[in-house]
Amino acid sequence: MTTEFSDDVAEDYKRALEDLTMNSRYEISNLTVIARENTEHALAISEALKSHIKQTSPQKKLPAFYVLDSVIKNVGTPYTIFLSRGLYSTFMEAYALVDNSVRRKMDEMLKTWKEPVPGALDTRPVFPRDVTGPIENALIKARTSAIQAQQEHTRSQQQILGRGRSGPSPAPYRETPTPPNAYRQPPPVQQGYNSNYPQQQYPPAMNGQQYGQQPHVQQPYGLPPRPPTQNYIPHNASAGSWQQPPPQQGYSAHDNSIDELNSDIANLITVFKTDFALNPLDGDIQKRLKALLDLQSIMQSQRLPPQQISEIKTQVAKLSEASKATLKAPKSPTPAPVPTQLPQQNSLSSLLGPGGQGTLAALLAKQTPPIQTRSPQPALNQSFKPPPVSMAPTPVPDTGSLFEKLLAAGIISGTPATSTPTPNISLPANISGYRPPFTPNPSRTPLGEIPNDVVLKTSSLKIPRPHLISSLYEKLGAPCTQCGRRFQSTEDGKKKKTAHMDWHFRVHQRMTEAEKRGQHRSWYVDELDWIKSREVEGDQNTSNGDNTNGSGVTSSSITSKPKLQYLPVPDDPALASSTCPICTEKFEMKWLDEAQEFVWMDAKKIDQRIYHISCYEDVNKAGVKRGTPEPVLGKRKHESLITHKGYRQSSGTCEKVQAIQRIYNFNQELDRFSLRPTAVKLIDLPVHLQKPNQSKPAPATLPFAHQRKEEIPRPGNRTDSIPPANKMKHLAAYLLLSLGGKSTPSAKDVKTVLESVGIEADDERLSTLISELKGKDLQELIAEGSSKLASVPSGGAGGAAPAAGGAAAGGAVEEKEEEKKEEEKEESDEDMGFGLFD
Amino acid sequence: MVGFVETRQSRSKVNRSTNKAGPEQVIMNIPGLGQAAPAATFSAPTIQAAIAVHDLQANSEWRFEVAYGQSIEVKIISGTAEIFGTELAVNHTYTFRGTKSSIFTWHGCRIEVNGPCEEYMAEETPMITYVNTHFALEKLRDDAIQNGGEGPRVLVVGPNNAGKTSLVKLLTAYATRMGRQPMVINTDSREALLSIPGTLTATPFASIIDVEQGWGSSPTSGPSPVPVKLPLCYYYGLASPEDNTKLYKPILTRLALAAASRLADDPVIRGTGMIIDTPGVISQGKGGYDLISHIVSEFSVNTILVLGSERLHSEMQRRFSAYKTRSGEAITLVKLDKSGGCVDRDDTFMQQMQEAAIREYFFGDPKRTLSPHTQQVNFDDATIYKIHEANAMLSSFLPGGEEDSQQVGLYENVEPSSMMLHCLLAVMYASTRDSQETVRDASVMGFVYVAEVDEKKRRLKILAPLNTRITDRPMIWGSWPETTVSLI
Repeated sequence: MTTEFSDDVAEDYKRALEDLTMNSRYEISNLTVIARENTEHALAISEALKSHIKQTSPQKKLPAFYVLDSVIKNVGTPYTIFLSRGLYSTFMEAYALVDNSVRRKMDEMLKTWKEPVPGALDTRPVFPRDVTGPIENALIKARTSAIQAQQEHTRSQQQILGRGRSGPSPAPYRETPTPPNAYRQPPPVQQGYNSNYPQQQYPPAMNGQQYGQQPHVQQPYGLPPRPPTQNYIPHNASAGSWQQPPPQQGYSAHDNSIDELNSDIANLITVFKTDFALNPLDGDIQKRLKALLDLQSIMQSQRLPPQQISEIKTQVAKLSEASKATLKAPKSPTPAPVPTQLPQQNSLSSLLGPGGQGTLAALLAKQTPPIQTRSPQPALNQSFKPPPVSMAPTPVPDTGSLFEKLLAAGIISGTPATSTPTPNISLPANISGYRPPFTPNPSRTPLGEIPNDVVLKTSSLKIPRPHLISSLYEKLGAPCTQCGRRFQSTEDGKKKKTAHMDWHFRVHQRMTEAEKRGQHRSWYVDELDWIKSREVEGDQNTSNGDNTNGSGVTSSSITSKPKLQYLPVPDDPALASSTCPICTEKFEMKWLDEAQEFVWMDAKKIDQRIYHISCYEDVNKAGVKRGTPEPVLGKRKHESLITHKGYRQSSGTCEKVQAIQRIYNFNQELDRFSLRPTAVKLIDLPVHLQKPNQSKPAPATLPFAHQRKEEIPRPGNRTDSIPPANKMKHLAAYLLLSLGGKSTPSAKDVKTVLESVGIEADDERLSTLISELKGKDLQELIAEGSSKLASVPSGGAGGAAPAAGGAAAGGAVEEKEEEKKEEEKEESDEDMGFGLFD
Repeated sequence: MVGFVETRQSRSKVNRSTNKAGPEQVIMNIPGLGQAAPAATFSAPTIQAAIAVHDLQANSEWRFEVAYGQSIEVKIISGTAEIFGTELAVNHTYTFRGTKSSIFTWHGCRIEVNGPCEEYMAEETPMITYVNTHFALEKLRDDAIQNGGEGPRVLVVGPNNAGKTSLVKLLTAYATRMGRQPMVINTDSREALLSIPGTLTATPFASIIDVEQGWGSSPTSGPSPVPVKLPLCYYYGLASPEDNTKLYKPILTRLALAAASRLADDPVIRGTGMIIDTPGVISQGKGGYDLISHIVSEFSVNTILVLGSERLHSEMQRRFSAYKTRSGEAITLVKLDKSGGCVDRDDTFMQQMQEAAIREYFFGDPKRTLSPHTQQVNFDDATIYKIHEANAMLSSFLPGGEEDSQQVGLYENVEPSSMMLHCLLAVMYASTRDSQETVRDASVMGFVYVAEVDEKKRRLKILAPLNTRITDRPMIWGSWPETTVSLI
């Protein structure tokens, strides 16, 4: 290892790390691969990585840590050794600088470091205990002190709140800098009219959960403004505590604040549950309880950015304070005629509202005396809005004129039935400045699942339904950064998203490969395949293998097609005219679309010789090395010739059909064989000789019968020939025994003989054989058989075999006895001499 | 409104020119403030030069036209945006070539545009109606799934350039976003869907539509950055359905049959239903209305969306108010407004679009190059059928009283000639021995392009997407798409 070279590698690696700005799976795995390929420079790379983590900006630290994590888990030693040096300082320094969400990620990572690599055989942890231990201790220490600080803080905050509430006339809850000396307070929950989309609310990571623009309350237009009974509120100094929420850095600094928040929420829920038990008919409490439960489930199921958490926290704290007050104070006899709000969806945005002050704020507001519900919503997005200072005193136009304006702007349809929800997020900028003076209808029932009431009528279609738009956006979950497809944050959705990202990654990878290879457009599928095909979500199917077209489509024909085995036709003319040494047949040449060349199907090159795969496999599988397979094969050839012809006649038929037909025929043959009354018959002549006769009518009825033999003629034929092989063993053993002096050998004897040479005997066949030969004189049988055979050409040479078969076919219709003799003769001729027991 | 739009347009052009002068200066258009202070500039050294940034308010649309041969890059910086219903990813660069399109936003967004294009903002769009149409269809789909029935079969009719295809695309995209799988049927031979003009197709959509490439791509041998779609194609080969209704109708029937079989087989698609795009010309006259009736009955259409034409709407009302589909459903008829963004596409543009589609079929798009194969075919080996030209033309040549065109076959078996040069032939999934009806009803396997005709040697040089023997298949030679300039 030359240090100079290492430096280069380290320098490159460092540069690559610097490009890593976000948590990109692709880049990280790329960096891991580089690390793996350069293990000889592990020291340099580790140092580069460590120094990068130290030097880079806090936002980039997490991706860098992921690289580290990926390297140690996927590559392991020697990186583990190099990186564990100084891991404490690397980790802790970074930890101190990053924000909470990143810290959580780092905590998780640290946890995995204490465990073995997932899926690895090694049970040792990723990093040894003595490396992770100190980090953990330090973190625990930091956390404990944080909790203390937090509690301190909460206490002080509660004191402030307590003071605030004890004020003689509670001031409206407000966060705007507007002095609340307006004569008319705009009514509550106006967030629906903030048509200016808060652009700065769009951190890319959070995309998808932030467009809570739609109102959560149906607000009918045309209601008179609320009588300004509570409008002259003296500005109270104690309002300051409401206006300026306590500093929040205390919350965001502590990792455990979420836990605390969770417990706070849980406490509140208990309080409300008791409350609800006391007043089961009180709708308000029920709703608040539901909202809280929703909030709790969100807190438990989602990871929220720190700002949001602190926001919830503030509100929850206030709410709990308020609930205490409510509990203490007797409930006001007339419930406040405030709009009831319920989150229509379990997303944080709906709870927090656009400015993070939605339902919770209203919830909180409800806890306070009714007067406070009149306070304006804080306008977080002020960039496009006229300054609130000028806003508040603006005399609100009377209902009629505003309504007319809305009509003129075409925002609402001519007949806004009060029953139809007409909230609108689409007010043009000039109108949106107005805060519509309508109060929510107190009698309106809270919204549960917003019904989709659109019908295919022009009037119904014209009514804007912004609440429905959300089902195309935030309700679908967060979008994929590559293509904008959205995925739910549920377990299933997360899985899908991972698969989807993997798919992107794979496609990306394969694109470059394919670029070199050259691609072409595929033929369109034909009708039948198209009807049978199923659309698979683009990214789900690729997980099951190398579906090279990367399509979103799996055609059934593709999946059901057996893997074709073929060999390109050799260029060498001598080789091109060669035959399979086993069956002495030529190879069938065929154009193969997939390979884009002429191939020999079912062919394989083994030791410089080309075989039919099926022939070769059969020979090996059967484990029977017969010295002279010719007779049987010769007959087979006879058959094959027919089948080849049959195949040639109808080309271009679907391979799928062939395959099915093949299996069908094969099974039929098997059935036929096993149903034979005598196994001896199977041995030879009858089967092979009857076959052509039997299959003569077949072409008419089963057009594929022969094609399928072309495809896999050998296995089929082999099965024909395997029984003889097995059978002959039995017979041979039988004959041996009788030669040895046993006039009537029993099945057990035969078995013993066979087993002595390691061959398994087939009980069924054996018993058939024994029963057939029972009480017969072997010598006689053999003599008779020989005389019969003498009239037929010997089945020795390959070429003559068909003739033998054919001739024998004619005389095959003889009684069983004779056949048997014949067989015995043949067997003794052939197998006795060569492959006796193997 | 128009005035406003034009100022914007001109200003953004000005912006770009100033940008070239001062590379570090980027001009932002801030709605509301832009007009009062047109030169609101700030320096942002990190952003590259010659990039225009637009802020779109909620519910507005940025319409743009990119000429053929030019390209622009568009990036959504923040907010949400969609092109014909397909949501765009934030911070992802999209490249557009030769297109007339628009980016719509429901929530407002900021986009960054790099490249020359004609553009303007529009605040009045019929999007609310369109999206509500989608939700109305969603409700029908929910009902269909609950009852195990078929989702709505939606027919979109309207004159040329009314935005039919855009609406079909929008409804398709919304449906796929909500996890549905609509079957999209294109009966417009002038403009192809995932194929070459002249074809009628049926395509199930389960994945996101490629916003940069029209509808996306049919399968290729390689991977695709946007999932490919699998169309079933039939070849009509003429520009207008009225050119040869004797050919058009049976092909439609066959298409409907295949689509219905797929629906019967595939529960997801059945629940979603079909969305059928039509050629504009059938919405413009008596003969066309008959074709609409034909489509309605063949596809069991139960929802008709009429785009932009009062007259057509009343005509449809007259024809279908008492009509019942095979399963006894009444037809819902709705008139929708035409979008102001619809532009007339002149013949030149259509021609270019056609050429682009053909080129894309053989050579792929800029994102991935395809390599077609050339091969030689002997005149004697090729079986080529020429589509008979318009019925009316033909009958006028026949002696009076003998105008019965049934005596004339559907196609004419022709020998290759130099007339075929630079033409496209559709290779059919049929055998050369099949009857003309069978060939007509067969689906398309692919297309080949006649690159050379050597009449002396009696040989054709053809360009095929892949190197397969095609002479065992009949080929159909249509007059549409029209002869283009040499591809190679």
